[in-house]
Amino acid sequence: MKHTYNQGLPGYCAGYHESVGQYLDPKTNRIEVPTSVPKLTRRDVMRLGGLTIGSYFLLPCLSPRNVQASQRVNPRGGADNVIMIFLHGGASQMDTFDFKEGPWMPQDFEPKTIHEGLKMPMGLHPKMAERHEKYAIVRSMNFWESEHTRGTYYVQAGRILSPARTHEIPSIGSIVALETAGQRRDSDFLPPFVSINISPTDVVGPGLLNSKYAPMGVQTDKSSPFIVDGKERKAYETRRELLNELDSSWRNGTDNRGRLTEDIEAYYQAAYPMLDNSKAGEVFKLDEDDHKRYGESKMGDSMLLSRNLVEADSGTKFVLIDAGGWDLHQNSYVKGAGGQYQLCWDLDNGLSALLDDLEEKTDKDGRRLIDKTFIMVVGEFGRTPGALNHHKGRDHHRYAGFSLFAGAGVQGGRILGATDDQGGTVTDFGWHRPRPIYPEDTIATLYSTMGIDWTKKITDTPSGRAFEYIENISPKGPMIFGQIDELFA
Amino acid sequence: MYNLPYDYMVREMLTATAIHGTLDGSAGYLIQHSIDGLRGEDSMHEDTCDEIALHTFQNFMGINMQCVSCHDGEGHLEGVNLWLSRQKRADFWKQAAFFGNIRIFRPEATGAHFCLLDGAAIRPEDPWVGKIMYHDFETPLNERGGTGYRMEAPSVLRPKRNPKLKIEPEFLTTGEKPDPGKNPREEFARMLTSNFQFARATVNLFWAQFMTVGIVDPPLDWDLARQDPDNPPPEPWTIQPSHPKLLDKLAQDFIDHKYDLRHLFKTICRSNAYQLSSRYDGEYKPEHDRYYARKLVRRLSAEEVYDALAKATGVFGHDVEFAMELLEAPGDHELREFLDFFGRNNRFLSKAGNRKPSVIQASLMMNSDLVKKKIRANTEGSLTQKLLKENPPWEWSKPENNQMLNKSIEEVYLSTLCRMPTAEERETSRKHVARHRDLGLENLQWALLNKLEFIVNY
Repeated sequence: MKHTYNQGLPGYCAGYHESVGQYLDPKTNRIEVPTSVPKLTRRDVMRLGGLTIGSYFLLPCLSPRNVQASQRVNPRGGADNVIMIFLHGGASQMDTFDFKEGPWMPQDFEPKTIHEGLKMPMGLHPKMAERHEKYAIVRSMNFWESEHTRGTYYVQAGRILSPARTHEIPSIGSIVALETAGQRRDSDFLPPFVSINISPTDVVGPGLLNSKYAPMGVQTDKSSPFIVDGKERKAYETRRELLNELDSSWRNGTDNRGRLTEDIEAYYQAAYPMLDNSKAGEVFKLDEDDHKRYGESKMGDSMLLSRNLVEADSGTKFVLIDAGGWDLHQNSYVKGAGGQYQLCWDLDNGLSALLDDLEEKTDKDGRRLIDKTFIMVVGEFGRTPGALNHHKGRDHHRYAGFSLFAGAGVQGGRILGATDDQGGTVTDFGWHRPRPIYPEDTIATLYSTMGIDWTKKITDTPSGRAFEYIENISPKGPMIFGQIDELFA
Repeated sequence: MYNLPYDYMVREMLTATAIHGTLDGSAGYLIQHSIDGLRGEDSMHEDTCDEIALHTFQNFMGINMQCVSCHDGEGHLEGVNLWLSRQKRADFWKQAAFFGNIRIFRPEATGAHFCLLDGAAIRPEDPWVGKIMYHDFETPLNERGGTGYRMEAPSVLRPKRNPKLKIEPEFLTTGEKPDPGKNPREEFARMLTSNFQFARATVNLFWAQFMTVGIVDPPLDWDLARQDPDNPPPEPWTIQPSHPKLLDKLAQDFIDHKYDLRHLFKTICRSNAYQLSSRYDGEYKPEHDRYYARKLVRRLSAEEVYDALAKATGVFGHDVEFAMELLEAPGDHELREFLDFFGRNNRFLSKAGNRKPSVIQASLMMNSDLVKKKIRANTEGSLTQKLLKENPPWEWSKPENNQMLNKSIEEVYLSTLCRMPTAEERETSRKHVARHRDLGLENLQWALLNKLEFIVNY
């Protein structure tokens, strides 16, 4: 197989994101240090001539401040909530939703042809195979990063990690929280943005936005501290009363000690509604039957909780789930906890149950929850194609990967794009742009279904550089991102 | 406890070796910057050197080279940092090159153990290191036995390096080159710790820790072109430190006392500035912060919050007494969770803790098992248990024991907030405790732990 990776251009900062991918020989799976400077093709020279100077100054990491961009778009709307399922670690595309048969494949993957364009491993996700009409698959994903920290950031922030700006860049979830703040009712007691099972060190926060748009982190495998157990409610109330009596001098604002104490106080004020409200306990309680139906796993529980949050309709608009563990460099196909089989089964049980429930349940106006909830499933990159590496695993691969979409107008059963028979290179983009689909496009789609104009920007930032919801600039140079129209009717 | 001179400590960190070490030794400082490649077992040597140079300059010299680690300062940093706007990316590479001959790798393909050595001092056949991945010795070694800092090496973190440039180590602020006969990183450690900026950055960093705002602030973002009041920068720039003379004096004093941190802490804590009240009854403006017009309130760090909790309640953790002793994430799940949500320092990810408040923190203080357990009277060693044993509730009502309850209440205040209750607080507390008896003391400590003043230094 010929080395087909983009060589980048010397002196052109796109080389950054080409990162080591360009040196990774897919055959030997080894990092090769090139012996000579990559040659420029005529097309590259054209690109170099036309764009070097302009793009140099526009690149997000390298550009000077006050980048401006504008574009007219029409957000679709239709969604009230978002559930974003992050396959942390980078799920393998050819062992799942871009399934490829090959000599590497164990027999019990049981490939089955559903229809001409769709083959599914029944041994890994039988339930999702059965429900293939309920969601859309994108198989022409490309990613910008090949490393977890940076990739994890990219998925949540929709842009490259720039040390100069991390403190002011908000998460997508915080933007959704901001944009939906007007819809918040007095009775809403849950925060607008809830993140499930993601480590506090991995999660992207509200950046320059007000702290009330920060994600509230929940872990499904332990009790949530903001839920007061029914048995303890009386004791809690007694204590709260005493605290109120004792605390007057610091909390009524007469004691002038500055912003910080006001901030901490604001968080106590946000915690009280949950602690004080006995309904919160019901939302975060996972029903035993449901727990079983969702697959009795941490991943399943996180999806069950996301269903509860959407169903409760008590202020939460954006749920980010870390459905992690996919970084299988070694012994991928070993059965048991943490292997490809178990991860797929967990995802299969959880996601299929979530889709079923959202279809079945309706809100008080009789609207099906699936019609007002946008679901997106994506990892930080794909994995190396074809045969397994010498550790019997797969390594990071950013030139192919999949994402799943459902709800809020997404046409189930659609399959966009295709890769070669190894699952490593996109051969068909499957949508209206002549390029692969990038994380920015999936996020623009997410914003669009929430009725958010993704070309908006916030100009009043601490650094002075405008914050654009989606920047029309890629690590490769200027690039227009936009929603994936082909997912919808 | 040792009181190692700070320059000694830093030199040791920068020159340490480890054969089968983890993050807790002095080699941990360099090891933590090791960068993995696309595959689990890859180690990106030059990226690792970059990270070491970046963090070393930031932590010990206060110079933030993030921007120039990817591109020249010119055309980008004119409005941000005058001195850095004149630095080139090549200047950054020269710092990384000091570490070009070290080798950091995992003796097993994965896991928490690392080797940190100069050059390729060991070979795969050495039995005690287990197996070493084949690619560790793929690149040709130089005369020092290491691979040096190769400009043609790929990067997972930054734009490509310029292979046309020849890069030799050269210290950033002085241009000094290492003695050819000596180990470059030992030379680097010497140059760094003997530099006056090292002392200045250090005293300023600790000053900022104590005072919330540094004399140069933020303390890890120095602009070296804006330090000298006798040689001011061009308009509209101003001198960066709020009190340049104080800063220089503190630094000189630190050097004169052989980089004695305890001496530095004492000097700061005994200052009038540090001992000011956090109350300010006049009209206060945010710009007063820089002039230390009052003690600025700061939220305790994650580790401090936990340690204050342990100290206040008398109930300590399973693994370690104090979270400050932790080298990495604690094994105790509950404690780790607690510290994570309070933004613990993360040595493994070289992330300094953050002190941003959150909803979960408030919830944890009010309703976590960790906190509730510590205040319970039936928890072994707890303050409430001790007080109830000394002064049992059935004795409170006896007239001759009138002071008993007061004493218990005072104890809870002293232990939790390090102060006596005000008359009003004493009255409220007394009423509550007398009514709720055993539970009253637990409730009181719970309430004090959830007063804002517990969680801040003021």
